[in-house]
Order: sequence, then structure tokens, then C-alpha cells
Amino acid sequence: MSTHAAAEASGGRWTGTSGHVLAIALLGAAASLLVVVLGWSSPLISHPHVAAAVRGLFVATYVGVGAYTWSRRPASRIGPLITGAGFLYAVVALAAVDDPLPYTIGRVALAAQVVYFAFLFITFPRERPSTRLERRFLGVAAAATVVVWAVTLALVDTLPHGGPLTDCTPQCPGNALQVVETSDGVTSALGLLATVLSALIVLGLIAVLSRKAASATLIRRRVVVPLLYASILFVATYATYSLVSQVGDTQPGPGLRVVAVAGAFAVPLALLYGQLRGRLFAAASLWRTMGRAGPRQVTPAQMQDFLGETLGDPSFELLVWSPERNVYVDVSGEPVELAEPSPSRSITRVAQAGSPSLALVHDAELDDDPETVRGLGAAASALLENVTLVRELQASRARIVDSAEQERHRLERDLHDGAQQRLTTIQLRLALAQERAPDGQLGDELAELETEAATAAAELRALAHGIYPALLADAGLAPALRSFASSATIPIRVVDHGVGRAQAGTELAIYYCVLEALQNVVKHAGPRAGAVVTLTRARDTIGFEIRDDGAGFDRAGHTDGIGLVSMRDRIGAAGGTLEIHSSPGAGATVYGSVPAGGQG
Amino acid sequence: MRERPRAVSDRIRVIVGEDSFLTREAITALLRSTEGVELVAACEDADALRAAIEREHPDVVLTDIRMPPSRLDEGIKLATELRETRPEIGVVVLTQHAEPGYAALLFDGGSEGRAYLLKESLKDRAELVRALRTVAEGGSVVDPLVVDQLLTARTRREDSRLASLTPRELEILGLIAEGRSNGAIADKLFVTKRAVERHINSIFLKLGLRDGGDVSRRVKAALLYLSGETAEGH
Repeated sequence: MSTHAAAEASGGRWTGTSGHVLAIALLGAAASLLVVVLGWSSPLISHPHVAAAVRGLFVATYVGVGAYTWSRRPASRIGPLITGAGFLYAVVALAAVDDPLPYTIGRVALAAQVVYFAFLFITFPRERPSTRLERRFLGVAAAATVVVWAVTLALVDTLPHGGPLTDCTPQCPGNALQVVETSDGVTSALGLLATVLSALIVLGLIAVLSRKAASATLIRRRVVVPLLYASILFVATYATYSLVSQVGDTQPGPGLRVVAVAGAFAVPLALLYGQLRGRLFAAASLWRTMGRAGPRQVTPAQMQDFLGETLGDPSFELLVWSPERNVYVDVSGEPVELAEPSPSRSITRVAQAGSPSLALVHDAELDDDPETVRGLGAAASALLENVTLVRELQASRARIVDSAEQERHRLERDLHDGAQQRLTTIQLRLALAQERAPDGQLGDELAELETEAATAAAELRALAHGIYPALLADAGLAPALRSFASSATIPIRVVDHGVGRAQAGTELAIYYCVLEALQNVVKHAGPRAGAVVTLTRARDTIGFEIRDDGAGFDRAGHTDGIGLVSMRDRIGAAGGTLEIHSSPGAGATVYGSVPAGGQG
Repeated sequence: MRERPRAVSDRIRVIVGEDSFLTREAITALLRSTEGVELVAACEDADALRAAIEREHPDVVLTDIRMPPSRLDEGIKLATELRETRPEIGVVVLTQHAEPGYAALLFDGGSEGRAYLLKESLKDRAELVRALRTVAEGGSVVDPLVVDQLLTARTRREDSRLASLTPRELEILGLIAEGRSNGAIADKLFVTKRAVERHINSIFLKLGLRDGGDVSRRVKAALLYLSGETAEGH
């Protein structure tokens, strides 16, 4: 009963159906025009021009709303069903022809239309009645209508009064299908019976709709409630009109006529509004879901709760497609076999870029508005995808930074243990050789070589230090930063509140970030500025702060310079955050915090 | 200065810890040909070094900062360990990093009997002997290159109290930080010991440091001052 949701989800929204929706619309326009023509000069109707226009508009409204629904839900039968109501009314409009046969056909069509409306209202927004009670009610209504009308057609010479859209002046044509001549008493009794039957059908209809409107899910209520009110309005005005024209022998006044016509129009408009309202609701829900979820940290479990709550379905389940395992997994990551849809549980699949993304397992009632479910599903899919991408990006950024740092570390070690070591050894041996060399040219040359080697060693030392701060790996953040501070050109104090050691990558990220910040102080804070670096550790988070007493800057006027971007990059890759506060004349402070990630 | 049981004229018994074969060979060759120094063992990792220390009771351990197994700062760890277990043994930590931070780590628990030297400074035999002798006697030595680096950075800072020092005083501050005694400074600068003492008093007054008669403490104070660790006047 609910597979259509899946079918619709995979089908295009407008594609493939627009041609036939256009044809229906044209056909509807033709039918509407025909109805206007039939009524325009009809001697049977009072104010025929106005009435004809109203009737034409009535046909056009149903066909229009039907076509709209059809185009939005091409796989559902509800669109054709609404459209059909419009065409059926075009047949009803034959009652305007001043000739017994078309008149009789029109009146029979009207009786059929009552049952048709009942079917449509009960079914909406689905394709067929969903409970046994509904089916039974419709069956009884249809059967009773057939019986009553068969008898009526056979026996009466004047058909009972129609509603506000079909009534005629007292000079109505006779019953073209009469078989047996009967008395006026029989005619009026059967007329009353037909009217009572219609009244019973509409009362039953209201009862069924009320029951449906009170049902559990928000979505269903939102879709059905407008139809319920419109039906009540329609039925009430229709019944009043019919009773007035049936019981009293006078024509109902124009006031009642206008109200009754308005009631008739309320229904298709309610069908339309129900759908639009569903869409508005979906949009609002999406907005709320997105707002609550936040851009980065939403988990599938949270998403499941949000969607369940938004859709008013406590049993809502979110299954996420796992491309690696080729299976759906639930929010705790357990693989799940998709159950067959049942009358009470429905499955809506959401695809992204052609491949499966999510499966929403929900109360079948939500199929009343598959658009909302699918819309929410698509948004959830996009959000979760986004979260995954952000996480992957962060991980890959961390990997890149990490592998670059590891490479630098390796390079520094290679230099230290290789070239630097050899140069040192060469210097020592040159010194020894020099001692043994006789005075003269050789000794001088050796001394020269030694000086050369010393210069090379100094250059290499500076290079190695630039590549990777060995002290950081050996002793951690505080000593490394102190060492940097001791050779800086501005006074820098390092205050260590027990920062301890952390993972190598984390320490390096913080180290370079602090250096970057201190370089900013040197460059921008003015010649007399000094800085205090404070390192803290709270549980598994390292906090650091670089506060200067320099010129400061107006944060608003500062776009993130390249230095700040690379600081954020490093700290972001380590899973931390960075904040910068400054105002002119009050110095600047950089705060950061990074998860320590265990001992490195 | 702390009194040691050993007479200064005795040969200094030295153990070397260096993992690189060629460098170890060069260092041991240097030590063997140095008068007043007796090389008793040369080890290639920290564990062998510990064992040799237990066995030989050297006066001085001359060790690379990076040693197997961890290849991080084994040399400094060992120096810290020995401060507890054998405070009478001097330790010269050799390094290829002209990094004041390592000196600070080495002096963390006290600077007595500790030297921080760049490996290549060993080529200056006089410097080598000075370092061995100084740590054997409980003094401290910091490689001139490291002190130089600190002094340069420090004098570049505009607000430094160093600006109030005369060039001669600045020079003497550097020599203090390197761990030289008043006598050695006097010799180096061709002035009298009395003059050096006057200079030192003036320097410590200007910098707001307490003058310890203890050369080793003096080294640490000067180093700390130079690396900006002490709040001025602290």
C-alpha cells in the first residue's frame, strides 16, 4: 500500500507527466467552456449567465486542482480522481439542457457525483479508502444510491430537486427514463427519499472525515483538516439548499444560492490548500531540523529523533545506506534488512546523486504527504552527507598536516644523525689532524677547512632547527616555546600551568600556531609590545593563550590574514578551535583549545 | 664552589656515551690525546653507559643528548638520574642543537656539575678540558655559542635592562653565563680579579639579580635572565 512512495521518490517530479497534464488541462478547459455554453442560454436556470460562468469555473477548478496534484504526484491516483470530479460535473451540467434526455442524464450524474465526492474525500490524500469502515460506508452509499435512483427513474415523472448547481426553475424537463406512470405522491416521496439519502451520505462522510482528522500524525491532520471544514461547509449549504427547495415550494433566494455555491468551491480549494499546507509545513520542519541540527555535529541518531518528532511518528526509524557494506545500517551502525512495507509501516527511500542514501521507515499514515517525508529525507540525507564530508575533510586535513609534520620530523632526524653528525666528526678530526700537521701550509689549510666545516655546520643547524623543533619532540610545548621566547626580539613570557605532553601532531599544531601568533605580535603590535603565552591543561584539553599589550586592531576591519588562516588550519586539523579578540589600543589575545589526544 | 675530594691535578676519569661510531672514535681520539684526561670507557647506548658508570665510577660522563634506545633526550635524563644517585659525577651533555631550551632542561634540577656543549666545540681542546674540569669540580658550563645567541636576542629587545650595561659588563655577563670563574674571566680579559668582581657586582645590581658567590648558581641566574625567564628583579 505504500510502495508508491518509493516509486515516486525515484521518479522525476514533472518529467514525463507534463505532456499529459497539459492534455488534461486543455480537455478541462474544453469541458469548462462546454458547461458555460450549455448554461449560457438555458431557460431552466435563473440568472443563466452568472450560473453558467460559475458552473464553468467549478469544472475548471476541479480539473485545475486535479492537474496540479497529478503533476506533483504523478504516480498517485489522487490527481486523476480530483480531475475526474471536474469532468463528472461537466456531465452533470447537461441538466441545463431543456430536453428530457440530457436533463435526466445530468441528474443521474449528479447522484453519482455525490457518491464520487464521498469516495474522493474519504480517499484523499491517498488513492483508496484505507479502513474497512470507510470501504463499507462507501459500498453502502453507492448501493443505496443505485437502488434509490433506479426506482426513482422507473417511477417518477419529475426528478427531485438538485443542489445549487443543478436546480432549475419549476419548468424542469420530465424524467426521460420513466417506465411506469405513478401519482404525484410517489414522485414527491421518492424525491424526499433521494434527498434524505444524499443527506445521510454527506453526514456519514463528515463523520468519517472527522475520525480521520483526529488521527495521530501531524501530517495527516494538516492535510485532511482543511478538507474536513470545507466538506462540512459544502454539505451544510448543500443540504440546506436542497431541503429548502425540496420542502418549500419556492426557489431558494439568491443569498442562499451564493453561500451554497461558495461552499461547493470550498472543497477543491481545500484539496489544494491541504497540499500547499503540507508543503509549507514540510518547509518549516526542514528549517527547524536544520536549525536544531547545527551544521557539523549532527549524528544519525539525533537526526532520527528530530525527524520522528517533526513528523509526529514516535516509531520513526532512520536507516543509512552504507556503500562499503552494501547494506542499510540503523543509527547505531547495525546492518538492517529492509522489511517489506506493510499496511501500517511504510518505507521511503531517499537517493542522492543516483545512489541510495537513506531509508525512512515510518507510519504508513505519513504517506498522506509523501512530499514532506521525502523532502525531510532529502534534507536529512544532505545534512548527514555534509557531516560526513566535514569529518572526512577534517580527517584528511589532519592526515595531510600529520604526514607533512612526520616528514619534517624525519628530515630533521636524518640531518641530525647524518649530515650534521658527519660534519661534527669532520670538524673533530680536522682539529686532531691539525695538531699532528707540521707548522706551515698544511696546518693553515686544515684550519681553513675547519672554519669552513664550522660554517657549514652552523648553516645546517639553523636549517634543521627550522625544519623541526627537536626540543618540542624531546621536551614538549613549554620548554620549546620558552626556548623560542628566549631568542625572540620582543619580551615573551611563557607561563605553564601543567600543560604536560600530548600527541606529537597536537603539540606541533599548537607550537606553530603560537609561533605564528607571536610573529604577528612582532610584526603588528608595535616595537614596545610584549607577549605572555599561557598554557593550560584541563582533563584532556590543552588550552593556550597568547596575549600581547600592543596596538591591537579592530577585528571588524580585519579579514583573516594568511597567518590567521594557517593558524586556524593547523588547529582545525588537530580538532581544536581558535578565537581572536582585539580592539584598538587594548592589545590582542588569541585563545585556542585542542584535544590532547593522549600522550604522544 | 663545592669542595671535591679529588685534587685538581689528578687525571679526570671520563666515560663517553655516543651512538655514532665515527663520532665516538673522533671524541675518544681527542680525549686520549688530551693531557690530564683518562678515558675509561666509551659506550654506544644509554644502558651500556649506565652499566659503565656503575662499574667505573668516573669523574665525568660526556654524553650525547640523543641516545638509543629512545633517541630523544636520553643524555638529559641520565644527567637528572645521576643528580639523585651519584651527585659527585659531573655530566657534560653534548648536542648538535644550539638550543637554550636544552640547557634550561639540563639545569632544571640544579646546574652544579653540569655542562651543555655543542659537540663541535670539543675540537677546541682547551674548551673541552675546561668543561671536564669545571663539571668535575661541581661548576657549570654553557656553550659560548648558546650564550651568544641568548645575548644577541636579549640585547635586541628595546626594553631590556641590558641596555644599561656597558659593553665590558655585557661581555662579562656572557662569560658568567658560560660558566667561567672570576679568575678565568680576569685572565681572558687581561684585568685583575678585583676589577672583575667590581664589574660583576655592578652587573647584578643593574639587572636586579642576587649575586651568588657560587659560580654555578651565578650561571643559572645569568642564563635565566638572558632567556627572559625571570621577571626583572625577581
